[in-house]
Amino acid sequence: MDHPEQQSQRQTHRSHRMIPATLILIGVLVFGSLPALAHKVTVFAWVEGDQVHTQSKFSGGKKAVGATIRVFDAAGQPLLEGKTDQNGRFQFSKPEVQAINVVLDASSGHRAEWFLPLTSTSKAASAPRDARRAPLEKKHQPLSASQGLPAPASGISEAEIRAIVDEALDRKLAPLFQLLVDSRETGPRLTDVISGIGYIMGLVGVGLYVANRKKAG
Amino acid sequence: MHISEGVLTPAILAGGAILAAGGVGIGLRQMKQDQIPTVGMLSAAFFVASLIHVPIGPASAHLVLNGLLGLLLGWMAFPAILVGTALQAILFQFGGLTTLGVNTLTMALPAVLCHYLFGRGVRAGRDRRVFMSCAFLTGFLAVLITGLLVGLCLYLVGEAFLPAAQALIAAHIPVMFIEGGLTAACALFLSRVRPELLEGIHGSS
Repeated sequence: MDHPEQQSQRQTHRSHRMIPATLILIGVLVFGSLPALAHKVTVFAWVEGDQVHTQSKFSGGKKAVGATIRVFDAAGQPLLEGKTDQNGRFQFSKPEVQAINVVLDASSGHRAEWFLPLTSTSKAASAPRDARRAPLEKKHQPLSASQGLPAPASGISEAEIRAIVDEALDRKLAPLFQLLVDSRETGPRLTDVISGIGYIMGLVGVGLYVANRKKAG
Repeated sequence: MHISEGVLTPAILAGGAILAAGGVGIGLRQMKQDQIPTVGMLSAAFFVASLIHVPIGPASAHLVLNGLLGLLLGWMAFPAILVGTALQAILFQFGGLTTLGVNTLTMALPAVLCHYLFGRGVRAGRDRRVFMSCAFLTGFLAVLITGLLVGLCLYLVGEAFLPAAQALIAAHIPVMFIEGGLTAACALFLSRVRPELLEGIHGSS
């Protein structure tokens, strides 16, 4: 008594049985992976005093240990090279160039870059720096003249003040940089995961539509 | 097992993209209308599996599931993996858009290979031991061959092959076992719930 219609109905019924099972599999994969861990490397570099610090990690927080860091100048000339330590850190003294490009090579085809301009934080009295200082001083002069403030009377030279301020700023900013380093990468979010699955379902819809039209036409 | 942007040379990227496009073409031609939802769901599983990390070893390795896709989809694993890799590149920044072709190829080609190597053993399925070991080897070897292919890509851009491949495969040994087990479990489950899914590929390939 098996009509072909019934048979095909049973067939579709059967194929529907797989859908909840697969959805459960995907659900387990999604929620089992939270907190989501990602699979890429990032490198972040910042200046502290006369040292450049770099922090490398796989997104999700795992430190890239023993990875190669290559440092290039803005023109792409290699400057130095080193390996990250147990904490994914690598530091080196600041090279005397305008900007550096820090390239992380964590093997197995993992690679990341960080571009770090150095001129704005350069302590060396380089040419662009002097040019920038000039208008500042001009602005200050009428102020100190009108208020009759004496020129540095305490016997501290301008360079010394600068050094003290720089040092204090470095100290104050260090935790901030650390915060930036730690919060910079959170890996894929749940929204990314769900939107990806949504895209795939959309593509399935498009595929079925096209296949249906082909059948009808 | 995603290769980041800026690692490979344009020639390798182009070669990988052309070969991947060929595979996707074969896969799309084979795809029948009633198989589209299955391909989509396995593509979604592949997409999400990359978020599951196996926190063993020096690098960070995640599940790939290409063996499972190959077993169930054959050549249709190519389009499924292409879509999954593209979304991983866009949403997770795994790999990249320029390396899409190479990454699709390195993951889908072993899938197809394992389909032809072990698919018959899984489908014959009379002896449970043959069935399970074939399914396990599909998951296990797909990851291993992917590691070798990625190592080959890195070798072509001048990295020494042996250390690169060794590091990759060492990092993925736990993944291989997990995927082997997972693929075997999925095959067993499907053989009970929906055996025609395992048989279906027989007709299409």
